[in-house]
Amino acid sequence: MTRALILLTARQLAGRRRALFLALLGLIPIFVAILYRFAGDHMDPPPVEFTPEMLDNLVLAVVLPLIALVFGTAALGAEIEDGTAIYLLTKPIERWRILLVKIGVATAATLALTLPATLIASLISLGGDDPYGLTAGFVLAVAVGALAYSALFVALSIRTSRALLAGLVYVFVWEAIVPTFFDGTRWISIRQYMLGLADLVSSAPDAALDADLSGGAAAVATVILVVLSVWFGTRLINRFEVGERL
Amino acid sequence: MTTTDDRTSGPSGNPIPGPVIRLDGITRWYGNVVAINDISFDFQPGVTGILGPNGAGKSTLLHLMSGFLQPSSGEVLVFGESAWDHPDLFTRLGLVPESEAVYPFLTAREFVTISARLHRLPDPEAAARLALDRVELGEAQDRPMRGYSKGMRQRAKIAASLVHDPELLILDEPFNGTDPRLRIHLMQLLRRLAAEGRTIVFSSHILEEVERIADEVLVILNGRLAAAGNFHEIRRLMTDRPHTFAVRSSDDRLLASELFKEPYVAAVSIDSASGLEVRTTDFSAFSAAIAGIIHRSGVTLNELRPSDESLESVFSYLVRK
Repeated sequence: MTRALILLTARQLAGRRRALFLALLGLIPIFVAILYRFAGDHMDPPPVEFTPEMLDNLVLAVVLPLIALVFGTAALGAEIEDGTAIYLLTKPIERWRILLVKIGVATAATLALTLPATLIASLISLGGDDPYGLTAGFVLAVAVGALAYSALFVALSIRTSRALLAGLVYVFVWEAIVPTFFDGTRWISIRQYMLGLADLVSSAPDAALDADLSGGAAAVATVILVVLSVWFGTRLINRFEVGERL
Repeated sequence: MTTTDDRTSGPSGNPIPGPVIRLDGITRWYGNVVAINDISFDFQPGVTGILGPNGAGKSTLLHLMSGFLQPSSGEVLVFGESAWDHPDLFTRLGLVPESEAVYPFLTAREFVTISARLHRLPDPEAAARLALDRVELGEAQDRPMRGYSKGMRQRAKIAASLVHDPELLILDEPFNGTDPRLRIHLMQLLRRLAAEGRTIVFSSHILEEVERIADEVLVILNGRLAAAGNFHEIRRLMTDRPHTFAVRSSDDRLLASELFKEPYVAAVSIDSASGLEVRTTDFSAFSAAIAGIIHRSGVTLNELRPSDESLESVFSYLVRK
């Protein structure tokens, strides 16, 4: 039963144009790493400074949240919007199970496009010389971030038909701009959680990678956010009424 | 109305205590608007049609019965359990929504097989084959549903809702957009399913659809239960009411005086612009006699049409009753 639900969701997410667009987005960090490595004679800043900056500003801040946003809001929200969700909700399946499968598949799809890209981009830009374990740190950060963003966006897509817009505001206003004015918002920022986790695994000096949250605090905050998203999503889907959006 | 203490049995032969569905004083509000207003009814095996004009509250009622809406007050019991927040009910309940939406990238066979898997059926392929055979989708079942006509989508949706052999099937406007051949086929299918002991509940705004297959009828108007029970009783109520005809002739005054002589003509009013309005207490007698009256009076008939045959006017009459 769970397998059927996984395959159905995977086929929904694998729409040709969407998958192609997101795959191209996922390739951008690799192109940037190649440009950095081979386009100029002098690598300035040095690879141990350039790599975490590139992975943070490009992968953690743009590529990962955008891909997770598209997959996360499409996994269940698109079905609710087009009316096909009723075929899932008329099955004797616990609603929390539907939610978990949707989050799981959205996470897997996000990881499929971002994890290899992060790994390859990091290896290329570091030129195989990774004394501080930056690659491992960012791979872990991306893996955890994909789960956190997917859980948040799937839950959001049940709540509102404008989840895509709300997600864009969260990523490009709340996470990108607001923390520059209000320090406390780092506690409600998945990007900051990811940086904290990358910092925890990596031993890079502060000049290269300096997270606002400690690794432990980032791990706890991530767990809380995922649990809250699943709880909130389950509550919404359990009390879902057809007349409004189906 | 049906009684509430009957003991009936489902297709498996297991006794079901009480009605299959019990609506007990349910009311549903959307903000300040009342969509369903204090409806009580018991549904038993057989075909029950929910009849009403568009916007009467039929879909809301079906959504309440299938657990997709929570009543603002009152209770909906399906197989003796609350319909709201009870997804386990779908092991015994199939729902065909009004929406045409289907997964465009799936074939009907895949769609129905996935439904069977989500129901945890032991042999999903065989169950899907059986359900698809019932709706006679033919070779189209192996084509992606994005290219399906409305009727083909309807067949696929019904097959998916039948795949787990439910005791209760709820269909929201199942004949909408179907061609006459499919309509007849679906009607026969629903009758067959009911004959096997199932409970079939469907909504429609077409009187003739309900008349052809429903044993019991609920007439809904403005969220209220206007009439309920055996279809023939309701039909009699509808045909026994005074009927109004609009008539225009070459000499309306002369025709009016001739019409007044007939015992089944209750009233005639003359309007210089719109002609005669004739109220009769016996539809059949008036219809049979009108040609003779016109011939006898020597006038030329320009127009004769029933002026109050819309479903809304029939419902309004029932509500007044």
